[in-house]
Amino acid sequence: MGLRSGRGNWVNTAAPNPSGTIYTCTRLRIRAHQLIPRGDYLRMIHMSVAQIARFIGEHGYAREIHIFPGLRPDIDRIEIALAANLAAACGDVRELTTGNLKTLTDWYLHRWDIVNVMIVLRGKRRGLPTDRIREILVPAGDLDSAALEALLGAGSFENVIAELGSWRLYPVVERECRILERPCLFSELENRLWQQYYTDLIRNCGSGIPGGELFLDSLRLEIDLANFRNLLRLRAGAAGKDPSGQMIEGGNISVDELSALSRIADRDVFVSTFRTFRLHPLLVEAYRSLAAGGNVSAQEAEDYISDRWVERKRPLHEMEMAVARVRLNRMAGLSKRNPFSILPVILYLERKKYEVFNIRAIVRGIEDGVEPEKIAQYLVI
Amino acid sequence: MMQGDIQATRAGLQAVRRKIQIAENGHRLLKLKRDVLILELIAIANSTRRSEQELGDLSQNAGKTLSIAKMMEGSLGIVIVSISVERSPEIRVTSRNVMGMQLPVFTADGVRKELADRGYGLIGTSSVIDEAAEAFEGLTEAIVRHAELLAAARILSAEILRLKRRVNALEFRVIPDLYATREAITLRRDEMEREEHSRIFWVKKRKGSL
Repeated sequence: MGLRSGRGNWVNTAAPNPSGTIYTCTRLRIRAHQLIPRGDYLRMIHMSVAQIARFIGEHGYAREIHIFPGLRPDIDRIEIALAANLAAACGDVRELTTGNLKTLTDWYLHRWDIVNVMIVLRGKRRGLPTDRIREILVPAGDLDSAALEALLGAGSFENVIAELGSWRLYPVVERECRILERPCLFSELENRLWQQYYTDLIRNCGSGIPGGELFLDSLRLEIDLANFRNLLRLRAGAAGKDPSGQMIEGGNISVDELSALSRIADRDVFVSTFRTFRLHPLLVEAYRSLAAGGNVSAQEAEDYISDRWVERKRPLHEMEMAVARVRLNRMAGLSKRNPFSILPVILYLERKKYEVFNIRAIVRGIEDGVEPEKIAQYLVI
Repeated sequence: MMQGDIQATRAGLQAVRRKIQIAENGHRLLKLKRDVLILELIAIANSTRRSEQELGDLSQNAGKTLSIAKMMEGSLGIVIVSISVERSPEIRVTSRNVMGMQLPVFTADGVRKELADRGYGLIGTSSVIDEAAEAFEGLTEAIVRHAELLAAARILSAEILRLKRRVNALEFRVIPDLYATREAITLRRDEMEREEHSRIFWVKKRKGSL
């Protein structure tokens, strides 16, 4: 039995490499422990930007941060260095993994391709300078630096589309770009790319590849959370529209259920429906983590969510961060129960991503004069 | 004081009277217009003060949401979202009439957009972007409203200054001069009448009729 990987190679799913998996998972578990710990984040939020630059230069970001000539680097440059470090970390993981683990990791990391392709397409359409577009890219996906450089060098917008011909999601780009005259093409294209990405990922994970089922569970939860968050956003920002076109298929909650949910206006009906969802306990836990001392009943958490639903309010940012923390904790629990699977790899990649996001949030928060306590609420530790 | 080109005749007196009537009517109307424009300016100044306050609050709120957006999405994320905008807002300029004055009316089209029309994909972004976009849309609308008030206030104050000069000129120069001319013509005509009277008296006396 064979399966086609993201890079076009055929991998043998029937013959996993246990020693390679054990080695990789162990290495990544050690790397995860070397990420910046909670105490250091809490120290960093009281530092100056220059001190943070020096601190991260001593904690795994030396190669990217030491390109700055002075001790007071520009914050935009720090952000570029963080993105470069994230891309390098993802590249390291790709090189470290083998066999099925590599296939699943590659599939997972393809999400960065969508981000990069959309940046290039938008940048080209808006006529941004190539150097500026290059700064924003995070070459952590299947399209490596050379492929992205080729896209950047393609010149016109049409040439970029033609250059994408060998990309796995090119059919979506081609389909959507046929209707170029329609306004807001890119938002549609971006949504379709993400939908196709998740559809492909779920199909591939469910095709019998070892470790795929484990990955699928965390993936379904991710989709549910994204759909529920976006449903709240749509309810707040585009009332009355059918959300099914903006939802991702493949979660535990089907798109039809989400569509039906979007039509519910009554609080009690919403709460009773919401209780049946698998993300209910996770959201309750996230709300508890936000409350001081955590002494909050499930009823209060439901009231909070139903209030936002009935009053057509967006999800609170602090709540979004709390959900990310709880999801990561759950993934860590699952990873401990399945130590030699795809989960330690995904957990490391997620933690690394949030490490970069945390440093960025701290640096940006300090620059804009945000209080340290407020910055701490936006960290996923 | 009599003006040079006016004859001390009945027709000249009538012409001066007509001019006085026109000048006084004009003075009354210009004063009325000035007072109305001053009232309008006061109303606009009050609105501008409120608009400034609103602008400050909205700007502060937009700054806060942008800070949070930059914290959560990074400035690079913000750049991506900002270049996603497909349709730029348009400002239409029309006018409204206040006492014959054309004051500008700015109408912002396509500033406040629905979620689906903002150009960024829903799936790849978070709600912090929606909040920042909404805050800046509100700020842009407030800026357009404020610009309309400031433009109107500028035009009104220039017009009020012009009117003030004209009213003062009429009140303190033109109308007093016309009254003086009328007075001079009346005196001259009275004198001419007395001379005529005297001349007729002497003519009649010489003929012996007296």
